[in-house]
Amino acid sequence: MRFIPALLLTGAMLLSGAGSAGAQEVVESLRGGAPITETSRLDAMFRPEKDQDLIPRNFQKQPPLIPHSIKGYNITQNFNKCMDCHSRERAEETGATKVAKSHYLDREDKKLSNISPRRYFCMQCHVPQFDAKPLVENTYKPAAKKGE
Amino acid sequence: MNISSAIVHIVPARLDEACAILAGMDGVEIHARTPEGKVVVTLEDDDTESAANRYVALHGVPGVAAVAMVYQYSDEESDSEEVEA
Amino acid sequence: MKLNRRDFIKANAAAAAMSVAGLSAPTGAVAAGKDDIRWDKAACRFCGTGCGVLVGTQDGRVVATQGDPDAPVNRGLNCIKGYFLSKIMYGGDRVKTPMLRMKNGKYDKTGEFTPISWKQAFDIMEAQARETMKKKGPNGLAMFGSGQWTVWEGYAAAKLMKAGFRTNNIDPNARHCMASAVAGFMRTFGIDEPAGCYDDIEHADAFVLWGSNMAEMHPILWTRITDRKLSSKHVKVAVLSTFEHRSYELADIPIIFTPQTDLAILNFICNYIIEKGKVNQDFVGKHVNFKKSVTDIGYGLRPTHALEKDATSNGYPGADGKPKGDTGKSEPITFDEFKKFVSEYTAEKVSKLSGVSVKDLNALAELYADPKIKVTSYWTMGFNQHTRGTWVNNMIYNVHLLVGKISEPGNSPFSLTGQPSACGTAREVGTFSHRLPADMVVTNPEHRKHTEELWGLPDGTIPDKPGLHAVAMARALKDGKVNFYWQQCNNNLQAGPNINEELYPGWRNPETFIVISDPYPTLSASYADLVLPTAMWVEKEGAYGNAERRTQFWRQQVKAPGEARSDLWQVMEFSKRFKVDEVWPAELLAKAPKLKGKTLYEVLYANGVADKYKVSEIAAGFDNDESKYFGFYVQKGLFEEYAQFGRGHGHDLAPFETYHQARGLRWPVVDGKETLWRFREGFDPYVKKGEGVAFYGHKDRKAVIFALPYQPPAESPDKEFDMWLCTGRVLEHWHTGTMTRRVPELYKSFPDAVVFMHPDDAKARGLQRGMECKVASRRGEIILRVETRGRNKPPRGLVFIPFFDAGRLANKLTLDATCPISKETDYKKCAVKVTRA
Repeated sequence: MRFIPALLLTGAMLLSGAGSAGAQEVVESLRGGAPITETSRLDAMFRPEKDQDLIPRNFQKQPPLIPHSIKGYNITQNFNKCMDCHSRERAEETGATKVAKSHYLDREDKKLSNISPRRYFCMQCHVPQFDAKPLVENTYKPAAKKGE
Repeated sequence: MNISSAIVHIVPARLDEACAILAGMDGVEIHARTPEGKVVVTLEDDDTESAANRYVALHGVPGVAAVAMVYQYSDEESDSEEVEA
Repeated sequence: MKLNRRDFIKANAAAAAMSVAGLSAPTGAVAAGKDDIRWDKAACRFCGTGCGVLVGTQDGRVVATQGDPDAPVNRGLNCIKGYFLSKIMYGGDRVKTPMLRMKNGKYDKTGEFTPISWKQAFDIMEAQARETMKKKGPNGLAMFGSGQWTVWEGYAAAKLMKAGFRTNNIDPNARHCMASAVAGFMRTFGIDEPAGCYDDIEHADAFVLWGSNMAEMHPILWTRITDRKLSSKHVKVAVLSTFEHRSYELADIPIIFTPQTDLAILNFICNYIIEKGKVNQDFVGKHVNFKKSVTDIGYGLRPTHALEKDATSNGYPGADGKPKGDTGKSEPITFDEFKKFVSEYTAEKVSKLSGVSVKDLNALAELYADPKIKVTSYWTMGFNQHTRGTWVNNMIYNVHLLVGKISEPGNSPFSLTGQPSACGTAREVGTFSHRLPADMVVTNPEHRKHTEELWGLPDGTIPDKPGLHAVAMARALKDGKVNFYWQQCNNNLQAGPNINEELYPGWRNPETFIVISDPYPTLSASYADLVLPTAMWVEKEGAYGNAERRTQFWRQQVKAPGEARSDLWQVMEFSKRFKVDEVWPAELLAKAPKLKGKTLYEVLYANGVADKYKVSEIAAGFDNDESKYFGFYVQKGLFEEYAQFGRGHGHDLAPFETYHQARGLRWPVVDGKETLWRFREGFDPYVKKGEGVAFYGHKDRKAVIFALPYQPPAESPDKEFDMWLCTGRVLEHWHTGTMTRRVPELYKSFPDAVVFMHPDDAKARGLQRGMECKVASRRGEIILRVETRGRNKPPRGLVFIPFFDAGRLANKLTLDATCPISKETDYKKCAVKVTRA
């Protein structure tokens, strides 16, 4: 497993004022500077991030983020647009990330020939990203590789 | 990686003999046994052989009366999506 | 990581087989491998589902989390929030030291936040609390806690307030979340919490969602329902709400109804069942009583509000100073009277009122009426946050009881909870202003006496009047009746209703001293007077109880940053500042001379019971900062003291250590065995042999069907404020976003709140998707962007706004109307207008 800390670095550089003070001297909420008594205006409109290659993961079981637009993608009881490209059968042909093996197991870990119904609604775990800058830095660090 | 566990029921008279064979099998580990012949084993392999086949092999050991699978874990480690992690 | 995980999984596999074989398993889930990541179990920090997770730590930090494959709730799955638990503690702006508003080196309400020491923090808190007690008595103090407190945190806080300071002014934010469910349970069954459990899902033939968007708010339970539905073709799903949302993707019977008319629909279903001759006569005859309730109960608004002045049974003081009636009063009626009562709720009439077609109404009713269909109903905030929330909870039980579809696999009216320990802490421990542990109440002398005995306190310690509930507490702050307010583990300035008129004025009232304990600078903290840095989640040993009565434990995995301390430590340490002689009247203390000269800490915590267990009993290799500080195994002592309340009374908990081994157990746990379905012989040890079914919460062992009418909401759209506003949550964020908005992946997946509205409504107001608009109610206004194509698709005339965004405070718009019985706010209905910004 290789960890790519790119996301974290970007996060750190986009720091807003709140967390940066070494000795804390402000208690500023995510509302930012706008007083509660006023009606806060909006920043620029966030747009879905441009289609990109895979977004690196920080730990093994992290569900991959969706690195592309999902505009108009529907999942209904009878039709799952995501599986058009990501299913085991189609992934090689389409070049999409293949749905993991775990997704073909039922609740009792029995193997299934189709995607497990418990994993059917993809967006409960996989989400796309907007081009918003994180509001505060997150100092999470992935595991260091030791002993191998 | 596939890891599973099972309870192997062995005729008590042949318990030692059967356990010795089980312990010698690749990827098989014995975790507990009772004098009545209940033996808890885990099996691990790297996706080369189906779990079903492994159980058939366990069944084939002399003295084994029954094999009950309890737990199976399959990991997607070798799948393409894991490479980036 | 590879080797280590392999070892870990193997240990789990072996343990599973051993438990099936009836052999004792090696204890715990701990495994450490070559790469020095330690894996151990915990409960998810977020919703009431209560998923099991595995937490990977390395060098004193959490580096990874994953769904626990052995957890029966979620079997290895998590939702998007749960998968990112590893990052929730690492927001760069953690509060690391106490912060006090100061000017010229002294506390000043108008001063700037200044870092201080814990000693200084407790000094000023002590001084403020003493001054308040001097001026206003103990009821000038108040504490607002949470269904996110661990079991022992809630227990310690309730003891401090109810027995230490002797005020019942303690309430959890769970009041906003499931107080109506509690009141519903108590009225219908006489005992709290669901009869069934999540295993109902794999047995049911039909699911009905009433005001619950499980696809987003209980995603892992939704995976189980999806699994059941897609693997068994005969399974039907009905979804009811006031707008279309993600759960409708699975609906066979999708129903959108006019707000508040759920009351009428439920009465229609009862009428349908009776008309079609589908009443389970045997069940009803043996196990059910019928009652009729008073109805003119008001809307929980301030007594001066027009809607309260004329109400005859709202319990408020009348002209003569006496309470006007009792909101919960009811009297027995017969089945025939009930039959007559619901007979006016015909399909045609209800269809007209609710906007639901007769065909859909009949299809829905048939799911309940058909004896061959096992039906499970789920509800959350759509029912609970309702000015008739208690009623609507009673009314869903009416339906299930009429056909006897309850307390057996697959037949289950199931109240879901929002918070991870709404059940385990807020309800079971008794952190509500009217409650004591194990469903007991402060107004019952027997209950007070029993509690005082178990706590080793003199008769009369616990006050006999309910304290202030959430909304009343906010009003009392504004009115200057409460001057000292301590809030832990929640963000009520953002989450409470009517921020502009009720909450904010109380926060900044010059007479009040506001203390906020939180890991992060929340909106509540940023307007407080003192902020206490707080340890969170696996920075402390914890226990949560989920919606299916499952109690789950975790150990402290890492240390909290800086000076941050757990809520438990804060409560216990602060209690050392007061002697009973100073806070109790002399006549009370005279009844217990041995307590003289002792601190509240000694009386409540180092009391010979809660301090019985040694620090050496803590599992090797784990921190437990509170226990090491106080010198005894704090969590174990408090838990075992608390568990005495429930054992033998239908709330039995297993011994402390059992929960550190098991993936949670569902109470009552009797003779080491958990209970899956309550009230039914063969499942529930409290049902006697030959009894079949017993609703033993009531003395006559029967449940109650209540005759309750449809009534309009407190505020409806009119000419000026012409749209309904419904507020709520989204999948990616937890409540006010304190944790999830600090996780970059979650923030970026849903950065700001938007207003979901029908495209035609937008067009009619000159608005398009993505444009800024102003949403205003009689109480405030906010500016946000229009969403016409998102996951929520409201009908014309209704908008939906999530409340997670501190920049766009949805609760500036909401009305502080509550269910007059449960005192839970209706966040789902008020009137707004939408215009171009």
